[in-house]
Amino acid sequence: MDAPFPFNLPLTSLTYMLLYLITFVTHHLAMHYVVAGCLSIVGFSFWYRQDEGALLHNPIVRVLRDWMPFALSAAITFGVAPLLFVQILVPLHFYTANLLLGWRWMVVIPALMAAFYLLYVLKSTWFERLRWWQRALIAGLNAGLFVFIGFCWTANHLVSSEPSAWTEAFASGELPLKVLPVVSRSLVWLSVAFVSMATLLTAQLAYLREGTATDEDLPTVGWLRWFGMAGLGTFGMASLAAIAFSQPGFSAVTNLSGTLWLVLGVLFWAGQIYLWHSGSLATSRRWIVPRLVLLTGMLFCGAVVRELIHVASIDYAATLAGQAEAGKVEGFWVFLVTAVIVIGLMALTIRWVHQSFETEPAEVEPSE
Amino acid sequence: MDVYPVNQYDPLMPGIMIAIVAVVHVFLAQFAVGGGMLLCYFQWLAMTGRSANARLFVHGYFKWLVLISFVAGAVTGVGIWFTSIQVSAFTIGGMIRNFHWIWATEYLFFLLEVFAGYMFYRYHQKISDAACMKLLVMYAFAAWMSLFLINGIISWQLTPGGWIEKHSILEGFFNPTFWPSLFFRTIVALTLAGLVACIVVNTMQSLDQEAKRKLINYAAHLLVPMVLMPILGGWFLLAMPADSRGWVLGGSPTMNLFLNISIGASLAIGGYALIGLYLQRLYINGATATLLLMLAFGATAGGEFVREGSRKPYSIRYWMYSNGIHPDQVAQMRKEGCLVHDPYPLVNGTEVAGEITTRGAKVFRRQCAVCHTVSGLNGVTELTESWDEDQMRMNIAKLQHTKPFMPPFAGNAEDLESLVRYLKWFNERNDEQAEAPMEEAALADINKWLDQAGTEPASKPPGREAASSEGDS
Repeated sequence: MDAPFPFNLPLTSLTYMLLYLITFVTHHLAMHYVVAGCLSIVGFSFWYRQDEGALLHNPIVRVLRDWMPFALSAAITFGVAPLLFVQILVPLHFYTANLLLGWRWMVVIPALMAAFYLLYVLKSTWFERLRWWQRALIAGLNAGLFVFIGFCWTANHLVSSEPSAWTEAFASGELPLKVLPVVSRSLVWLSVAFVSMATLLTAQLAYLREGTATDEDLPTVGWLRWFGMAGLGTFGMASLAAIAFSQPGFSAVTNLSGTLWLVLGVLFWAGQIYLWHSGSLATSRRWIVPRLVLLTGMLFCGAVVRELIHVASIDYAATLAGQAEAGKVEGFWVFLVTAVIVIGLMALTIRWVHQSFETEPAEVEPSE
Repeated sequence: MDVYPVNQYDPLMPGIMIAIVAVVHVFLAQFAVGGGMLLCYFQWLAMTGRSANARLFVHGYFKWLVLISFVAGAVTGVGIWFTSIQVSAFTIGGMIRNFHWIWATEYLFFLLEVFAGYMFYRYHQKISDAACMKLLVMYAFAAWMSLFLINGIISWQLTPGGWIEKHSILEGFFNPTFWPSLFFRTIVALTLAGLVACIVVNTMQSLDQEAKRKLINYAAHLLVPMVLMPILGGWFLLAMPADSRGWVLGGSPTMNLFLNISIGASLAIGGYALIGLYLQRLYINGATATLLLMLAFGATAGGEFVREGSRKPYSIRYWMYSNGIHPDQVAQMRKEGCLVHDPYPLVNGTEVAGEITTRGAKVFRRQCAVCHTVSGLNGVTELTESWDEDQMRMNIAKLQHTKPFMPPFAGNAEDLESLVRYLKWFNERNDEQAEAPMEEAALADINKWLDQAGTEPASKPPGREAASSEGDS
């Protein structure tokens, strides 16, 4: 019996695929935080329209405004890695989709830059002086830019999955995109974004005491479970729709690999439903790490299923020779050793900051 | 052989896009590298009591670094990949395939850079001086390592060294221009950081002019290594392939012009910095500092143009031509034609007269469109306007000899004739002439000229020059 995908791939291809999948998930976690964060601030601005000052005191809004620029920086940084590995895995498909999208793809860059600076606007004291509708407008513009960027990525992936439509798309300039696949896939990442954001926010409120979060905050945000529950519910339905509306349809997952990853994904999904279903569980420190693990596991399963559909849409076997060729290139051990060193150095920086917080309060300057 | 669709943006040539994004990114990325070192220096000044205001400066400067470099620098970094794909998917694909583990390693240092940077940005006012210094050193180290690694890849494009023979990553990475390029870029990074510091100091309203002058004079210390630039520039030139050096030093007026712009701007900055700021300890206001920074941008742009241009006719020297065709593919394409693997039709609405000009437009797209427009910037119809049809046939057939910074024509006689017909038709709009059946005599002439030219480039790797020239003759 064959091992399930991607473990049935040759070792070289498996290495690239695993690196791609893992870095893709880390990118998504950070990206979800920002997308759902901006959309949430739009919602909160409306919610608090009668009491504009309360918006700024909401612990969720406080933490989001404080951390979203960093989260976007993390999303971009984490995003570089899958962007690198996809060029090894399916260069023909990725490059062709880029070229067919052309200027529509290039617009992502200025949009991302504008969105990045707008996050700093959201964080600024100037934002605090605005009326509720002005705040909603800025956060809405920010969210719109992120949704647009996400749409471009979805479009890129869908175009790369349809080689038979490339020549016609090039000649006509019209992308081979259909409404239902685009909407269902966009709903997948948009809905799960709220789950990721809620999970990360509870972790921040539970463990971070260096800035905006306080001990009083976590018990007050039990309502985040509605974000978690609604997000998971929509994510489940949208995922089924996305598989159904994909080019190979359910045939891409009605096999050993598909069954395995779908079942695993459903288990992770159900575990999260359980952990979000009550306010006390949602705000319990005890369940924060398990929930984060379940979320990451579910995102990984989702990413594998997405690849299963992609693999079924294209002549994937033809790409293996290129991957094997790339595998002959030297440097893997340099990468691996550096990865260990860099992780160690990152841990060291955390330790330095932590130690300085603990042991050297006398030298600390007053904050602004 | 995979073939990608080619987007043409006439009258703009695609290279302009990557030039703009690349220059902006290089400028910002080098500023980030130098910024890390400058901050370490100022933190040290603060910790040792040499400058009372250095700590204030460090905190103010880092905000600029985050807002400019972390945001625009990071995004334009991704932008370079996107634009490179638009311009030449073959080239970026080749770079990624051959150096993906180096790139992945660079990614790790970028991760560390961003991480240490944000740790400092977020906590610098809440932690000790010693912890601040450690974070800044970590940030500066990671940023410089990014430069170290990327420098290996981009210098390999110009001088692949022993990689050409053995495909050894070590020989490709530590190629002949690696060290001069690394040292030169490090000095550029320090210069940019120093100039930005002069601007930032001028924005510090809590300081009087004397305090600002002192900080500016400290920042000018980072500009002093510019005195080494002529030596490093000379070293770089000597390490370049001889023909590239020839273009830069006068063989190509455009490249020579950009080199002179770069040298002139660097001299202006270096002279002002060394004499005015370092020796005479003068004050520099924000406007002058901004002007110097703009000059530095000009110098960076000029330098990058020269670096890109001097690779001609290659995008990866001796391994891949600018149009994405490998030297060892030319002979085969001469036999089977250059369009057999190209599945893409022309974009609907492309103006052509018929079948032959359609083929000509496709040949143009495959072989010329990376660097040229049909009509516009670097437009081929303008460049060849004064040639008659026979001249055009011969000059294109012998392209690598007509213009040694061009690659050999990689197609058969019919491809070339179609290209000539298309280019002539584009200017004259004579449908009948363009679509007339191809004449045997013209094709025979083209074949003769193609044979005379051979399939080898004018610019060959050292050691292959003698052997190839014997073969060509």
